[in-house]
Amino acid sequence: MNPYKELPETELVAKCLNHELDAFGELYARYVQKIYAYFYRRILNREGAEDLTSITFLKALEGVANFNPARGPFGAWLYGIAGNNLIDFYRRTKKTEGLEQAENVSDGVDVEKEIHAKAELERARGYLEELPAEQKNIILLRVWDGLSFKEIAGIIGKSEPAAKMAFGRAVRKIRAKLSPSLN
Amino acid sequence: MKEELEKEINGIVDDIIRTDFGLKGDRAGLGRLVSDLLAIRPDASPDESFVLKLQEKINQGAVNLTKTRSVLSDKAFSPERTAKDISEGRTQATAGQISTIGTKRGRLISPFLKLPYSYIFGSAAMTLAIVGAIFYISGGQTGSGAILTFPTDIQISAAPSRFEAFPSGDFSAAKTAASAPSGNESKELSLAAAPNAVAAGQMASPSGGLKNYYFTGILPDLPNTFPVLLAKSDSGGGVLNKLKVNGVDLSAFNNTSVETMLIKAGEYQVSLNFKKGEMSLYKIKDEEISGGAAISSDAEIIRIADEFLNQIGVEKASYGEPAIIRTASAAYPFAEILYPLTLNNYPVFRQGGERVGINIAVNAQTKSVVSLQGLSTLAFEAYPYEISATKEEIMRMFGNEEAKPVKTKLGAPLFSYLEIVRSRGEETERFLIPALAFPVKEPAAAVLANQSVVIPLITVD
Repeated sequence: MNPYKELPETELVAKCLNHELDAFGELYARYVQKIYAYFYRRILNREGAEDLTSITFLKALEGVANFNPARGPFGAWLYGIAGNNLIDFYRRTKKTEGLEQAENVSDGVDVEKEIHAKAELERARGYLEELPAEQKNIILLRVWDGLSFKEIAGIIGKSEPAAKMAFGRAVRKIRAKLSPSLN
Repeated sequence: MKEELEKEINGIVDDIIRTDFGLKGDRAGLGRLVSDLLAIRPDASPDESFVLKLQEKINQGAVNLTKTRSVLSDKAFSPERTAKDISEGRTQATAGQISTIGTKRGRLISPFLKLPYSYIFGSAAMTLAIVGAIFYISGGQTGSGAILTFPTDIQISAAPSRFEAFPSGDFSAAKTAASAPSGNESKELSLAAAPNAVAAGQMASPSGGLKNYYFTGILPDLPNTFPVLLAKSDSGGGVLNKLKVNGVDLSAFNNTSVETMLIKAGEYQVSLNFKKGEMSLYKIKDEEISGGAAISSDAEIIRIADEFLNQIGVEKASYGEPAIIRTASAAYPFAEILYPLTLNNYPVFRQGGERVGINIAVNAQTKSVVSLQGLSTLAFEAYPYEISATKEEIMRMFGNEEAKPVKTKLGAPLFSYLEIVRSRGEETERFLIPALAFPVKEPAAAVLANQSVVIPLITVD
């Protein structure tokens, strides 16, 4: 029986801070699907998403003893590590951050699925292409990844109100583009 | 599945409208937009074997890290060590000693963790030369003008038919409202069990039930009834007549027939909702972080926020002592201050556990207010509801102190209000329902996060 399964996240984190790192396994179980999805939705490459997911959790395991709950929720911290890894990935593959880079990333494992996904991304560009990278990121974090503004704020390194405002501004821009009469 | 998707879409749309209620009149369009964005979200589920394999690596890495703690020392700090080394349990042999990730005062230190604070800020200078008010009209509905009223204006009312017309299950105690006094008889809300003051902070709702929490104190007696508050959507006059932002007198828009407005007032963009009685503002341009500039003290930051509220004409009588909920630093010099809302001395919480109130962000280097959110009408209709919870039921919800694993200890509860926002078609209604808020006392990490547990006292689906 997993003694950590029923514990709330704050207690799991408290145990990790107390160097009871067995508790990290439960945190992993709760977040692995989300972190994997975060990567896959952005790079559309299964192998790459798996690599980045692995690196993220191993770095998190290493650093969790230094995690400071006062600076934000654990999820924001973990997504922050993931975000840095994604940036590193873009650098390594010499691609710019955003949706565009997804086009050239393919592992050939499920080409048909990826082509379909990339075609759908074309539609997304209709909404998102003119947004600054940060606003685009916030939209995707909220809508695709379902993160709270508190978590998003932790990831982008801004205050929660600032994250909300950037989100509101981005939505307004998209709506203005779709319905100029709105403004 | 479809219901879940609709719930997700509605949740995001509600978020958008709460963020920028100038978009409220475009709810249907926002719904389509969110729906489109969700429809193109790539399906992403990890391979099960990958998840299991990585789980093994994580577990092994945890064991290795725990083992090596006994040999950690300041000298052993090894910035070359990688996540891969840790996952594979490798230690680094250097000059005959075991080296692993470092430690200072017994705490593990990541050799390469860089917190993800990357800042992109706009132009270096703030433009202060926007003159007058350029306004955008959205939402198109004819409204009744400015409606914010301060200070608190709560009226006990009979339950109107529209309340009973709520979908069944929304408020199971709705029937009892029928016995409420008729008319707007009283503004008295006080109950015998007045709460103590609580510090502003963030609180979490219990996840996975309350069995991981224990409470060893004695619950206060619960009243038979407690007023559920419904924010008035049609009150007129009030705060918009009093507010001035950067010299722009908001009373100029008092007689407008629109519901929402977005105006520029100097360096600020101001969102107004005349129907809901809400105002928020933020600086139009992002501010640049000026490296070495001094950071204001917390007391100075609160003074700046206080002064700003005074300047724009907000009365603070219904708000508790302001608290810094995010500290500023040289790397990120934006502090957040919360003025917690208290209605007749009862603190107000969101469902997510945060205190409701005015949230102000201050640039602690330039000593200027960057944003203000959460200023809304304090005019409510009150409907006495029968308390459906009992002390025995609440106590049965908690776990046992002696049970393993270690539980989270809760402190003495406070009578509180819990904010609930419900959608009715394109309309949203804001309710405050009675609740008990239990502040977390142990463990230390949870206390550090200012967590509490909020339990509603009437049944809400």
